[in-house]
Amino acid sequence: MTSDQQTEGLQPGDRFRRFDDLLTRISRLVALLGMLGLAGAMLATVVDVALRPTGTGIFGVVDLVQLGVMAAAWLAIPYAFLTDSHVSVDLLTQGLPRRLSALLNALAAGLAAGLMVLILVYGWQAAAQQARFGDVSQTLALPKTWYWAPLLFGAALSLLATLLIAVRSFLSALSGAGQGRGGP
Amino acid sequence: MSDPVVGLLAFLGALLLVLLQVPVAIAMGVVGVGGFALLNGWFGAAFVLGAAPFEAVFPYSLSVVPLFVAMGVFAARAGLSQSLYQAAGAFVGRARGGLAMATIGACAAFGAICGSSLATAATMGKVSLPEMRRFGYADSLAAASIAAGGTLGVLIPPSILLVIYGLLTETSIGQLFVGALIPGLLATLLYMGAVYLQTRVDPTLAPATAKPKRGHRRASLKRVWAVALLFFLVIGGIYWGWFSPTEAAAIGAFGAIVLTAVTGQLTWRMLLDAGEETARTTGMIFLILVGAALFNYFIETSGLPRLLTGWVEDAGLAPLTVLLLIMLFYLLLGCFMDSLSMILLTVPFVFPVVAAQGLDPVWFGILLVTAAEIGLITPPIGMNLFVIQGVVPGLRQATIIRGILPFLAADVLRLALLIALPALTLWLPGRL
Repeated sequence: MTSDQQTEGLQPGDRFRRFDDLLTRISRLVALLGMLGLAGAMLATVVDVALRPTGTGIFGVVDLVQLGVMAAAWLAIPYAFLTDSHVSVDLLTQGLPRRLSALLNALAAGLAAGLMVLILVYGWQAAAQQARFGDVSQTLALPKTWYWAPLLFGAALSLLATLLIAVRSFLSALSGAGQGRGGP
Repeated sequence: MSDPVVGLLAFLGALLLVLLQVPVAIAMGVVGVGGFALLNGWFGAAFVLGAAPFEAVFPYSLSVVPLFVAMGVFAARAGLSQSLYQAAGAFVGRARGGLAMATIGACAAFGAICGSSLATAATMGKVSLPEMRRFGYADSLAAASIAAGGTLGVLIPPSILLVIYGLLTETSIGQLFVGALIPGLLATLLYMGAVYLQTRVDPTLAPATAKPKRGHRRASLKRVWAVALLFFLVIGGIYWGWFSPTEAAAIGAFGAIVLTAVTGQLTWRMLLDAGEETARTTGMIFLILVGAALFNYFIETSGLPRLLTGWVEDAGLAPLTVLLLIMLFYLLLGCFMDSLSMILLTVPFVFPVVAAQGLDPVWFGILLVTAAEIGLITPPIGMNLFVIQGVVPGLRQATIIRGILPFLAADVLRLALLIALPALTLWLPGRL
C-alpha cells in the first residue's frame, strides 16, 4: 500500500492520534534544542570563569547566556504542555465524573491557547517594532529578533499543543472515554 | 468598583481557576491580562502582552533557574544517593531509628546539590525505604522520614524557591543562600530529634541495627567527597565572592554532569532523559514566571498592595504580629497549593506589606520558604506525600500521614525558633 492509500484508509481518530504523536515528537525535539542552548550558556559561563585568572574571558558572555536561556525556556514550554508538566491543582476536581473532568481540562487548555495567541500576536508586534528600530544586544550587538525568535516559535508551538489538548479533552468529554494523556 | 477591589476579586478569580485545575501559570496570566484590560483598556493590556513574556525570561539573573534545575537533575541521576545514604548510615545508623536519621542526613546532603524537594524525596525514597523495610522499620516512620527529609531540598542551598523569591523581591540570592544554611542545619537536627523521640516512645517503630565494621565510616566518606566538593564550590564560591550566583549555577550544573561521568552513569540515553526532565521543569517554571509577570503588572496597577500596606499600618499592629499573621496565612494556603505557585501568586502583594513593616527581606525569605516547605508535607496537597506514595506502590496515604505528624511538629517548632531568633538566619549573611 502507498502512503496515500494508507492515509485514505485512516479513521479520523487515527489521524488525530498520528497528529498528536507527531506534535509530541516535534515538541520533544524542539525542547532538546532549547536544552542545547542552555548547555551552551553553561559552557560559556564555565569557560569565562576558568579564563578569569588569566585576565581574559569570553567577550559578550552575558548576551550569549541570555540567548541560550531564552531558547531553553521558550522552546521547553510546548513540551511541558504536552507532557502535562505545568503545575495544576486537582484537589476539587479529582472526585468529579470523568466527562466533567475532561470538560474542565478542555476549558483549561482553551484558556492556555487563548493566552498563547495573545502572546504570539502582541509578541510579534513588539518584535517587529524592535526590528524596525534596529535594537541590538548590549555587548555583541546581536539583533534583538534573535532573542524574540524562540519566544515566538515556542508560543506558536504551545498554541498548537494547547489546541490539541483542548480538542482531545473535548472529544473525551463527549465520548466519556479516558483521555490517554493529561490536560495542559 | 474601586481598583483594589477589582484586584482582590481578580486574585480570588485566579484562585478559583487554579482550583478548577487550570494550570497556575495560565490562571495568573489570563486573570492578569483580563484585569489589566479592565482597569487600563485593551491598549494597555496589549502593551503588557508584548513586553511581559519577554521581560519575564530575558534578565541575565534568571539564568540561575534552569542551570540549578539542570544541576539537580544530573545530581539525581549520578547515583550518589546510595553513597550518601550509606555514609549517613555509617554515623547514625546504629542507633534506634538510626536508618531514618540517616535518611534525613542523606536528604540534607542531597538537597545541598539538588535544590528540589520532589527530586530529593523521589531519589532518596528509592534508596532508603527498601533498606528501612528490610530492617523492620514501620512504614509510617520510614515513609514520613523520607517525605520530611525531602523538604530539606527546598531550604538547603542551592534552592530554586529561594532563587525565585530573590528575583521577585530583588533580594540578594547569595545572602539568601548563606542565610538558609543554619536554618537548614536546624531543620535536619530537629527532624532527627523527631525520629529519636518517636522511637523512644514506641521502640517497635524501629529496631536497633548491628554496629558497623571498623573503618566503615572512613570508607563511606571517601565515596561522597565529590558531593561535598560540589556543594562547597557552589555555595563557598558565592560566600567568598569567587563568582556570582549565575556563575555558581553554571559551575554546579557542569560539576554535576562531570559527577555523572565519574560515577559511570553518563550515557547518551541518560543525557537525553536528563535533557527532557530539565526541559519539562524549565518550561514549567518559566511559564509560571511569565504568568506571574502578567499577574504582577495587574496587581501593581490595581493598587491592592498599597491598600493592604495602608490597612496594616492603620491597624497599628506590631511587625511581629503582622509576620505571625502572614505565616499563618501561608501555612493554611500551603495545605492547598504547591509552594512555587503560592509564592508567585502572593508575594507581589504580601512583600510590600513586609517591607513597609521594616522586616528584613532575607529573614522573611527564609521564613516564607520554611512555611512553603511545611506545605509540602501537609495534607491534603502535600506534594512530597504523593511522591513517596508514587515511589512505593501499595503504600497507603493514611500510613504516611500518620507518620508525618511528629515531623510537622518539628517544623512548627523550627518556624517559631526562626521567628524568635532572627540571628539564626541573619548572622551568616551579615558576615558576607
